Formats: sequence, structure tokens, C-alpha cells
Amino acid sequence: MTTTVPTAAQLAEVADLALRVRTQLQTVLSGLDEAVDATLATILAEGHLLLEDVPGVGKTTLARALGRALDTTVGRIQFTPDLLPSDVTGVSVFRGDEHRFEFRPGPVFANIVVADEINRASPKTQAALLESMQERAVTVDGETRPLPAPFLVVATQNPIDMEGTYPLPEAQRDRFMTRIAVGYPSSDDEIAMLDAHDGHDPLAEVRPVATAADLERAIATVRGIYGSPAVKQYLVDVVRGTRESPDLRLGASPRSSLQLLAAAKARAAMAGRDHVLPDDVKALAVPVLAHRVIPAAQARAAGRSAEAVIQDILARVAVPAARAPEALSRG
Amino acid sequence: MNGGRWRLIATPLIALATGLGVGGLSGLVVFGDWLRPMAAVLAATAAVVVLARLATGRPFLPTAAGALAGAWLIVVAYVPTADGGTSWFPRGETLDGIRLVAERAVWYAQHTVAPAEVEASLAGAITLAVVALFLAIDAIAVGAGFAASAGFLLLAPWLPALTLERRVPTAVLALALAAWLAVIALSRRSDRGSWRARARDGASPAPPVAALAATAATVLVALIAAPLAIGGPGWGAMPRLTLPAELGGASRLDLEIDLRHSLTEQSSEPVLTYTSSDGRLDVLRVYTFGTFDGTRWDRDPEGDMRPATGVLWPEDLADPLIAEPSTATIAIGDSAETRVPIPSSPRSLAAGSEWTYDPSTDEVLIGRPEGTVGLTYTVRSAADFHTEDSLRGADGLIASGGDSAVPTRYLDLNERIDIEKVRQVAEAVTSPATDRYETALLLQEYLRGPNFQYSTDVAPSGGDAVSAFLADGRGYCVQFATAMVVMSRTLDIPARMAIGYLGGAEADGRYVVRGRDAHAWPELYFPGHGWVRFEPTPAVQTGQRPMYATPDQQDTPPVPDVRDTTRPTAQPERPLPTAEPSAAPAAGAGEQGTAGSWVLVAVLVLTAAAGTGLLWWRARRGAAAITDAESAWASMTRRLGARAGDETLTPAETELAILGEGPDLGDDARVALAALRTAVEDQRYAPAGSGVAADVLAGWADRVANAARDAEKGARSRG
Repeated sequence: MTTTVPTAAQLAEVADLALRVRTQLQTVLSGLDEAVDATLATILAEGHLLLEDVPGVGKTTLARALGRALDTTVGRIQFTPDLLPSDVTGVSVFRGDEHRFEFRPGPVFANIVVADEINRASPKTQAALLESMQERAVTVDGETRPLPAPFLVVATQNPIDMEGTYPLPEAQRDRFMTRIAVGYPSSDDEIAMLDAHDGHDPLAEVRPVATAADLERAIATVRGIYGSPAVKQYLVDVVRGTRESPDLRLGASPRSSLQLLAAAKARAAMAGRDHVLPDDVKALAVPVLAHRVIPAAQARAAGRSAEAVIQDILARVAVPAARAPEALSRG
Repeated sequence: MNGGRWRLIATPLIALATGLGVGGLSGLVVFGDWLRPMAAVLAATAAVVVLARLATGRPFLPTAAGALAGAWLIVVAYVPTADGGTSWFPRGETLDGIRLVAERAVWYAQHTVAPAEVEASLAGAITLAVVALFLAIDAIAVGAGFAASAGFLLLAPWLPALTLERRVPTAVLALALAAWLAVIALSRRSDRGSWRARARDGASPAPPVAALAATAATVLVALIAAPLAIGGPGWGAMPRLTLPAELGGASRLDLEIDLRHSLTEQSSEPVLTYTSSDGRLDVLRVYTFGTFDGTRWDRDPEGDMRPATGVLWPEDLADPLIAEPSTATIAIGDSAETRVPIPSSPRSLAAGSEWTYDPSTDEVLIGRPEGTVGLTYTVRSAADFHTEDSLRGADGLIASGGDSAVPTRYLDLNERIDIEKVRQVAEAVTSPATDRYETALLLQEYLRGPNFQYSTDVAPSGGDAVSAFLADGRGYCVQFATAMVVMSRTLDIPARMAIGYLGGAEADGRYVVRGRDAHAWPELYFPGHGWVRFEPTPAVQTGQRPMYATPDQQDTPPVPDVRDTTRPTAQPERPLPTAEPSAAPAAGAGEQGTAGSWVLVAVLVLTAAAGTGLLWWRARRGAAAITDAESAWASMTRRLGARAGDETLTPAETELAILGEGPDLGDDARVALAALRTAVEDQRYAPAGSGVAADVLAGWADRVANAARDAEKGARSRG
């Protein structure tokens, strides 16, 4: 991995890219700034995105708009109960004329894979996608084929409609860097949305503003962002807070810490900064952590969601000040 | 002027202001060559402090270095070795030397009369006090950065002089205050950067608020606390420095006879000398007082004058009554009184033609502008005029209204006195008496009895000092005399207060009367006979009982034994508590005050001290600590208080909280806040840290905190 310290020009490039993509997405999805930012941070941090919310709030639209805004290959999979793993990864077919098997890549072979209603497919099929997310490669008939880079899975799922679904187990959810609840738009945003859809498809207006190469460079820049000891301390304090909270049955894993830092770095780079702030950690703590923790029974009974518990932890953990004790002891 | 440079200038200024503080000792000590080594030690100590401050950034290390250096220099300069030389290095014997010098200084301070020549040991003590004061002021003003508070300490050496209305060299005081104000101005300038620049930037040029506030507080304390203390009943109990009226001039009897005053220093200088044909004179009276308001005596108006020829006595007496006069030739030295000292029995003056006699006050007035200074005159007196028989013989005239011959003021009792109570005591004491003579004798012996004790310290009292004295039983001649006068008056005996001198001590055929022989006694009126002196003061500082008032006859009521009445009347040698030459408080001289007002004063002083300490602590935590973005940020958030949220907020969130809460700060402060937030983020989280200079950071923090404070003030005043 390249971890060179990013130059100002590289930082500006990342910030500019993020701004361009954000502008494109906002023409389609007004008022989803936080979701858009988290989405961008996930892409730049090489993570995968789980969009979870009730139907009709724009999950798929966001995913598709993203695919259009980035000038990359986009694969789209509508998950259904009868979807087979090979429908995701691809199959080898026999070419009679050439007397050999030829691999037909599945939709997963794309820079951006939109996996709609991932919880509708059987666990077996889910596992095929999730494995490729983890390995960034697909093994078919004993042959491992790398997936293109950058590789981003944007999965959507509907948490309400539980009948006939196969909810992702915790271990699988952990594969997603962020889970974003899109949420209902505000009144103004909803009116703006009606205007945008009036008579034409706004998606058609989304223009590609970044190439896969742009994205690769930006991802390399993000890796070099500096995370100070103070900010790492803060991040670990927050993650440990989820493990120690009596409101959570299961806390966040050490992998969560890694992913939270990566996402925070991406957010810092998007702002043109070469270092992570606790604000980055705070902004991404809920998207990165909330789907990895399980609220305890009493918290659920009290109607407290994982998001609320994590917000409580953020409100409790002190932001460490660098060298504060020394500064105070000097008169 | 930035950062720490002002400190290097402030320290010499503080040394100057502290050194000038010895001006507050004006009148107590004689200024002379001893000032030079003192100034040298002080200057050297200040130099050490400055150098240490150059070398270290720690606030109080220079003070410690200065203390070491100052102590060493004082030991070198003022503590001689056993052989009288000077040792540059302390040895074992140095400790003994320090002890000897300290003892010598204390002894000298106690046994000298102001204004005192300053000998080496006393100079050492003064230097020690000045250096210690300098280090304390420097530590507060420069070390802790709280220049304004240090003024309290700076004023300390001046306080005794100022509160006792003694003359101080105004120019020196003004110079000291100017130096202090300069220190304040320096410190404020550095705190805010240049306020001219702030004015250019469009920000309001704030005056040195802390300096003004401290000055106002000082003035308030002076205006509120001082009158409270003076007006309160305990004021008289405060040790007073009675100095010769005009420094170096003639001495004078203190005519401000207030029962609440403790008796302090008495001069051992001779007041007058005399030769006498008949041995020591009992007393030489100078003034009489008839009007008493409960705590103090007032002079009476002059009556009809007549030339001071013939027999001087309020009653008409035939000259032959002075059958066997004793003659005394009195030479007055440096004593400037307006009345001529005369014996308390009928007398005549040989050279009294140009003087006048006031029968109503029984005083001889001298018309010269310089008063009695240098006067020599001869007085004849009927020493044995009063006898027990003659006094008992007055009773017939009392019955026929003989008391009406004297002015009614000699019977007046101020309503502040608890007349009934005093009368009950007086009646109880005098119940065995059958005539005025016996009554007077019983009162005298009661006061000389075991219930009362001679003490130069008096208990604090309110408006009725006599009742307080009768209850407490401690006092000196003024209390005893006044008590007897008031008790007599409650029994309808005309009585007055007299002050003058005891007969003095004999030396080489002359009697020498000194300042410390000053005395007060009661005189009771016996119709047809005149004013008769009694002696209720116990033997420590008193005259003998007059012959006629000595209860040695069988038929007089038995009285308790009251010490040796034959001992010389002159006051035994006792340490003279002079004014303390150093800033150290007078141990033992001022321990008597426990009245309410002293509690109040103590509370005020403690409050001021606590306030100073608190401000010092805050200053130590605050402005002085800005060394980087982190401390500037901490300083700013602390000053903003709740508005800046708590430690769970990131700098950016804190900024939002500050901008979101309360009244608007203005663009200037918003920019400063953003800049400071970026700086602290950089320092905490950026790989390169923050490169902003500390004084710039301090300026930003100040700008935000001041803007918030001003905005809140503005909001309050509008609301």
C-alpha cells in the first residue's frame, strides 16, 4: 500500500473530485447531504456501502446516480430468492466451436456493483457476493479472477418488509464499511424532488465527472492521510465505549476501528485536510458502527436504537487535547 | 512590547517602588547612610531576579533565586563575624551572628525613641523587610502576572503612616505609586498586545481594566473600611504612635484624652527640671478638664481672667493661709504648653505679672507664642494646705449649698454613661462614708484595690468607657482618674480631671521631670476649700497618695493593701514600645482588640487576601500559561465558561457552540476564533503541528474572550 504523505495538490484533487461527485448526486437527491458524504467517504476508503431504509426514499436512485456520476463500469443485481451465486459471479460456458470453457463474468465484475434488496436472496447467494467483497476476487471453477479496481458494492435492503427475506448475519454486516439510513426528505427537499422529477428523469442528467483512474488516485491519496495519536486515542475510546456500554449486547469489533479510521481519513481528504480530526470520527461513527453493534434487550425495550446509543457514547467521550497536562503545569 | 520583555522592566520598577517604601518610616527613623547598603542589597536582589527570569520561563524560580541572593547579601552586609569582620561565606557561627543581630535589632527597636537613629542591626532588619516585600510583590505582579493586586503589598509600608495621619514625604509616595502604575500599564500592554493596534483594527481600545478595577477596589476599601474601623469603638484600642508633634520640635502633652486609647510610647526626654525647698513636688498640673462625653475629655471654655498675681486659687483665700510655703524654681525645657505647670495646692508665682489666671479652670495662661518653652519661674505653694481635718470641715458648707460656687459642668454626666450603674457601684463602695472626705477616700481606695489593675492596654469599649473600665478593671491613670471623677459626680460631688506631671526623679540636687512622668488625676471640690487632688491610680504609675488622702488613721474605713505606697512615684523602667521600624507587625503591642469592628476589619482584610489569592490563582492558570495553541485554546474556553461547552466537543464543535450561544461576537472575534480553532486542530492532529507564535495565539484568545464578555455586557445592558 502506498502511504506517502499527500501533497497539497493531491488533497485539492480529492476535494475537487468529491465536490464534483457530490454536486452530481445532489441534482438527483436533494437533502441527502449526510448520506452522500458518507457514501463518498466509503468509496474513497475502499469500503462497501449498505443502504438500509424503507422503500421509496431513494436508496436505489442514490446507488444508480453514483454509478452514473463515476465514469466506471456499473453492475446491477436485483436480489431475489431464486438468484444463484453464479448469477452474481458469472459462469463458465462451453464454447463448442473452440472446444473449451469460456468464463462469462457476472455483474460483480464492475467497478460499482449495485446489489438491490440484498436480503431477499438466499444466504448462499449473499455469501457469494460478500466473499467477493472481502476478497476483491471471484473464484469460479478453481480459478481466481480479480475484480476490477476500484471495486465498490452498494447494497440496499429494506428493514421493514421482513417476510421472505434472509437478514444478513452480524458477520456479514461487518463486511460493509458503512450503513446509511437514507431517511425521509424534509418538506422542502421533497418539493424540490417533485420539481426535479417533473416531466423528465433526473438520473438522465447525471453526467460522469470522475474516471476510475481519478478514483484510484484519490484512494491512494486518502491512504496517506495522517491520523494523530490524539485522534486515534479518541477513535479507540469511542469504539471501546460501544463494548463497555450496558445498552449494547455486542460492541464494535477491532475491524470497526480500522474501518472507522479509514473512513475518517477519506472524509478529511474530502475536506482538503491532510490529517484526521475528531470531527471526522464523530461524523462517521454512526454510519460505521451502528450496523455492527446489537442493542441489549433493555435498550430495545426502551426504544433506544443502536444509533442513539452511539450518539450517547459520542456525547460522553472526551476529545483528548494534545499535551494538555504539560501546558497546564507550566505556569 | 511583547511576551516576557515587560517583566524585565517591571522588576526594577517594583524594586524602586518597594525601596521608596521606607519613606513610610519617615518620622520613625532618621534617614542616613544606612539607606545606601539597603539600596545596594535591594538592587542586587532585583538584578538576580531579572537574570533568573531571563534564564528560565518558570514564573517563581526567579523569586526563589532572588530570595536566596537577598538572604545571602543581607547576611554578608549586616551580620558581622565573631571578630567583627565580614564573611562572604556563611559558616556555623553565622547562625549565632544572625541571632545576635536579630536580638539586638529587637532590643534597639524597643528601647529607642522615634525618630530613631538607625544602627546596623536595625538597618539589617529594615533591609530584610524591604527585600522580602520586594520579592513578594515581584512574585505576584510579574511571576503570577497580576500587577494590580501587588499594589496592596506595595502600600503596606505606607499604611501606618497614612492611617495615623503622620506626615509622609508626598513626593516619595507619589514616585512609588507612579512606578507601580507603570508596572500595571506594562503588564496590561503585554496582555493585549498593543491596544493602539487594536484600535486601528476597529476593535474597541479597552483601557487597562484590571488596573482601574484594582485602583477602584483600593479606594473603596480605603473609603469604606477605614472609616468603619475609625468610627468603631475598637479604634482607640489600636496601637497609636504618638510622636512629638513636630518632628524634632518641642514636646507637648497629648490633650486628646480618650479612654479608648491604649497608652503607648512615652518619651524619656526631660520636660522640665526644678529645685525645691521642700523636696519633691507631688505633682505639677498643667491642664484641667471638666467636660466628659463618655469616652473623651474636652477642654473647657476660658472663664474670666485675672493677672496671675497673688494667691492663685479658685477660692478666696487670704495670703497668710500659705503659712509655710515651699518654694520651687522650675526650668522648663523643650515643652511647648500654653499653660504654666503649677502645684495642685494654693500657690503664687514670683514672676507671674504678665501671665493670666483663669479661676474657673484653675489654669495659668502664658501669652507667649512659643508657650512654655525655655521658661524659668519660681512658684510658692502651700503643700500642707489640705488636711484631713480641713477637708472634713467642708461638710458644713456642702449642706448650705457650697457646691453651687463651681460651674455645673463639673457635675454634668453625659447620657452615654450608664449613670445608674456607675452610681450603684459608687454608692455601694462609699456606703460606710459619713462625709465627702470619707467618700472620696473610699472611691480612691476602691480604685486602688484588687479589682483594678494598671495596664497600658485598655479593653475596647463603646460609648461608655467608664462602665467598660469598671467592668474590665484594666487601665492606666486616665481611666482611673476618669472613673473617680464620674463616680464622684454620680454622688453629686463636683469633680474634674487634671493632667500634668508627677514630681520626677532627683539627680544632682535637681528634680528631673520626663515625658513619661505625664500623669492624670481627679480633683474633687470641697466648698470653702477648693479643688483637692486624689490618687486612684495603683502604684505602678502614680503619684503617692496625698498626705491628706492616705488612709492611715484608725477611724478611716479599712482598705485593702495596695502595694507599697512609699516607693518612688517615677515610673519604673519598662520597655518602650516604639513604632516598629520594619514591616513586621508589632507583636504584643496590638493584641488587645477583639471588638466587633476589628472582626469586621479582619474579615475585610481576609476577603481582600482571599480575593487576591483567587485572582493570582486564576492568573496563574490563565494568561500566564499561553505558550501554544492548546493553552491559548484552554485559556479562551475557560474564560468563555459554559458558552464553550465541555470537553466532549471537538474544537470545531466548540467554535459552533460559541458562535451559536449568546450574543453575536462580531466579525473580528469570529475570525480570531476560526484562526485559533485551526491552530489548535493543527497542533493536536496535524502532522506538522501549529506554527503560530504564542503571542499571536494569546491575542486571538483575548479577542474572542473579550468580545464575548463585551457582547454579554452589551446584551445585559440592553436587556
